[in-house]
Amino acid sequence: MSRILSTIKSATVILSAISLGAGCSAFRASVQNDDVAAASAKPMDTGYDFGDLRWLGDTVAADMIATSIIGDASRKPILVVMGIENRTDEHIDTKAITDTMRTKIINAGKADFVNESRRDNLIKEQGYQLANCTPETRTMIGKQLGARYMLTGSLVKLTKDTPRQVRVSKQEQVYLQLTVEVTDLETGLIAWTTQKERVRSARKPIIGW
Amino acid sequence: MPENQSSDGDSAAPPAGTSVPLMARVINQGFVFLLAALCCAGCSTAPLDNARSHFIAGRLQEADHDLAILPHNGNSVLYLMERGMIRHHLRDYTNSTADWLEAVRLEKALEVHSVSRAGTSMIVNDAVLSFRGYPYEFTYLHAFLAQNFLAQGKWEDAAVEARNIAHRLEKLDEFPDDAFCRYLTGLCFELNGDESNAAMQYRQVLRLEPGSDLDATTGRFRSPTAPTNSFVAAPAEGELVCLLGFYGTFGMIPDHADIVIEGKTVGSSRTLVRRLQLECASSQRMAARHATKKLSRIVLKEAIAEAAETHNQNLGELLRVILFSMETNDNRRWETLPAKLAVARVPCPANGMRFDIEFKGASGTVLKRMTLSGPFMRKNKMSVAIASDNP
Repeated sequence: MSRILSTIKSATVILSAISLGAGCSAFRASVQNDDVAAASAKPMDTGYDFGDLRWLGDTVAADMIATSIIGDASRKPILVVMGIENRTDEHIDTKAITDTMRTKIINAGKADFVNESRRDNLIKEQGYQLANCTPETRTMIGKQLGARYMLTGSLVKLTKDTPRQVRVSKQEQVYLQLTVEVTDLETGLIAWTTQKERVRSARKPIIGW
Repeated sequence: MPENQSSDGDSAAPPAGTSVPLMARVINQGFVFLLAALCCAGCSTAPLDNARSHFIAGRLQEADHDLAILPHNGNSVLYLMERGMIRHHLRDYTNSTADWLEAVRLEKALEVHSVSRAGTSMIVNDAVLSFRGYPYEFTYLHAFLAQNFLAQGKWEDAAVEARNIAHRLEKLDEFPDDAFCRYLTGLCFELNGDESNAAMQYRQVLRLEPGSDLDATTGRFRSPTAPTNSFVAAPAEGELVCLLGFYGTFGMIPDHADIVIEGKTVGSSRTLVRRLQLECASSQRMAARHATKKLSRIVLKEAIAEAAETHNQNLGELLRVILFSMETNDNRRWETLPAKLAVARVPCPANGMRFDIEFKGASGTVLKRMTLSGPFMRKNKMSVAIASDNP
């Protein structure tokens, strides 16, 4: 009988400890209001994340700003972004990469971009203005500037993981390669191109609780 | 508790005012409750069964309603697979894609083997484990995601899924290969201008289905009367690729489907895979592993029952009955996958907005006829349509 009582006592102590522990911060969801520096945030796994987006966008933009067609041009060139092809096995928003690049280049004052993704809205607004706005304030039709260069590219990803063997963790390496091309729309020649590579390695357990 | 008292167990009437037999009864009942709970944890859930019944009867809205609330247990992936398929048939491609992408995400998390669930499965059954499915089921997760993207004209996203299919088919580990998934992969690559990789996948289709009359360089099918190895040129106006699922919801699984445009049969489908074959081959591949685990579990259950018997004869017997009554196979499968998957690739007018599909039996009898109206997603003169005989 005394053994039963002592078991019940022990169980009560353990249950109380669990109940107390459940109130601890480690067991509760938390949100940090402090801004985490995007550049210093550590990746959680080998998947494409905002660190890759920032790094790829920033470094390609820096390279473009330093080129002769943009950085040394006597007149600011006009570019049109025609997209980066996603050739990976992840659903990656490659438009976010070109958005980052475009923001950097425009803010550096080195080139202008036509807003190709809003052409339909633009035409609609011009049509509206033509029909409804005063002649002094309405925008002129046929005054848009044409792009001299077209920006395109592709994103490739290669993955390598450890082969089947007796192990308690799995290592994975991911290689990302971004190729960006600037094509002269007049000549059809590739005026400039660059490649950026990024390799990330991660080890993850294959046994958990 | 003194051993002589505990071994007497429930057989002796408890003396009035003595709490020891009472405790033994409480422990016995606790075991029963615990094991019953474990048993229930492995049971398949009613909403899933109801949804499958509604789906196969063509009541898609009811089926979707049955799975409105997802469980947060080991069956989550299976629920998402089934609900995604129901929504795919409802042409709710956005939500179907969301379900399947979530299933893919959860499946990746399952790469970490849970010691607690594995331990429980050793004394209960494999149904308490998270649903892991056979490899072909997860390949089809990507294959149907690709079909969703094709139906929405998201060619690049379809190619992303095609790459995932190709990765999975590269690591088959003696599980069965799949001609339909290979063809779909090739088609997605072709639509994205990757002709060489497309041809590589089409060659694999030909290897797996040599009787399919496929021209592996173009992905087009020859007419049965054309000489083998002849090149099939691109149709002048355009072509239609129809990805077909056969369920047999009207009592008989179709043998093939004919595509009829403006009253004229322009071509027939080629069946590239049968689900039952994939399931049998996968089951055979896993048979030795399952048998070993089952044997180990039986030995362990017997050892537990014997250990309990040394303390209490009745408890041991009860445990044995309960433990062995829980011994069941894990039969969880993605059941809303079609029984057969087929492809038809036929010439069509450039502005073709409407065509008929005639699902036919082996004798040529029309089992079901349906009309598909466009607009169909089109790229480089190629239109893509997705259909099944359900509903």
